[in-house]
Amino acid sequence: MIAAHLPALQVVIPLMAAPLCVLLRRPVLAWALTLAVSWVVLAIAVALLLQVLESGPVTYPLGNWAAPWGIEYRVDLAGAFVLVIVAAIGAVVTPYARRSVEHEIPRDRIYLFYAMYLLCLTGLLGIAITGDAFNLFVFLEITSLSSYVLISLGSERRALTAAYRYLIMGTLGATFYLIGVAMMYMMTGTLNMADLATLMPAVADTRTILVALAFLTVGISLKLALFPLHLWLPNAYTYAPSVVTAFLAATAAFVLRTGQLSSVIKSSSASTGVVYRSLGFLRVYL
Amino acid sequence: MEFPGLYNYWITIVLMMVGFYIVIAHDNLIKKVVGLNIFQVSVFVFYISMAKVRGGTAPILDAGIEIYSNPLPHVLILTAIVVGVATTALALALVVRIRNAYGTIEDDEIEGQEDDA
Repeated sequence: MIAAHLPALQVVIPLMAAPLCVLLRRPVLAWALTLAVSWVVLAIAVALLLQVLESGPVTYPLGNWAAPWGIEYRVDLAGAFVLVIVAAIGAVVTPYARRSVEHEIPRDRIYLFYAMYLLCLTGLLGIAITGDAFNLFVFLEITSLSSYVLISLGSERRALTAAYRYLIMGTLGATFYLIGVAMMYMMTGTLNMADLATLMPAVADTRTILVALAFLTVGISLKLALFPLHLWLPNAYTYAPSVVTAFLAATAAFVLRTGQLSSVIKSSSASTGVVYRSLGFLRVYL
Repeated sequence: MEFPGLYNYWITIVLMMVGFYIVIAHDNLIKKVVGLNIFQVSVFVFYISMAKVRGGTAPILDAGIEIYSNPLPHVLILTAIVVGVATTALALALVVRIRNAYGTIEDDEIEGQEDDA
């Protein structure tokens, strides 16, 4: 019975645990809850992967609204691997977080740290699992807002300016992404990414779609800190608490690049697909 | 093409560039946040105006209402506004803490202090 709801639970459990962390207050309790949640999330991700390996892509219409109209969660093989990897990194980082966090963050703020950490995990898992272009924006912002806070919790005052610069660049990136989604919606009338991928080839050569792809590229590149839009990243990762750097550096860029959005972009035309792959390589080497 | 044409898009572009320029050109951290807000609002206007159907009313399921505006982008922007408010709140909170730590909210003075350190 519960197996049918795994895709929703994957995101909802860390989301619900975040405010619970704030209520618990005691650093040890908050840490224990975070640890439990990160392992449960890993278990769900593995269960989803096994389900996908056995019976193909899993889809989950939220609130039972059917796909092109409602928001759909969709786990295909690539998505399931991303979920497992993100959840695994979370599960590995959390046990070590306790001592590191006690060192770097004032005791009275530790529970807030874990709440933000869980929200960040929620956002990253959401980006990997959602099948809706606008829902992706929402999860992108959940991830970003929580990571601004996490970075600003660094012990040096430079962490604050690093977080502020990241916030400005990140919001610009997200807004560019929003413009791209608007233009794709204008041309196709759908926000579902699987639906977009089938409808895009018909309109791929129009100017609106080209502009949309340009906005998407710049927006996502800002979020990924892709060269030459990477200037916010070195300071942000240097002055953030070490746990945050370990977690974000390992997961954030990876999730974005491998998301389902890439299938939409590849479907639009062969040449932009090539551009995207070369951008991906640049990111790897810089 | 009649003159104003799709004038809502022109307004969007002008607002967008004004906001973008403020974010890039100003050193004051609060002004940057203001610019960021203008930039975001331009995208909200873009979504809302694109969903307007000429002669259409509010999307209410009732006899006699045949043409209505597309409600979906309007709902999306409701979400985006909430995200924008959260971003602004966080940015302002950061500015307060930066002011406490550095004693200034001018970007060039902060950079000067960082270079000295």
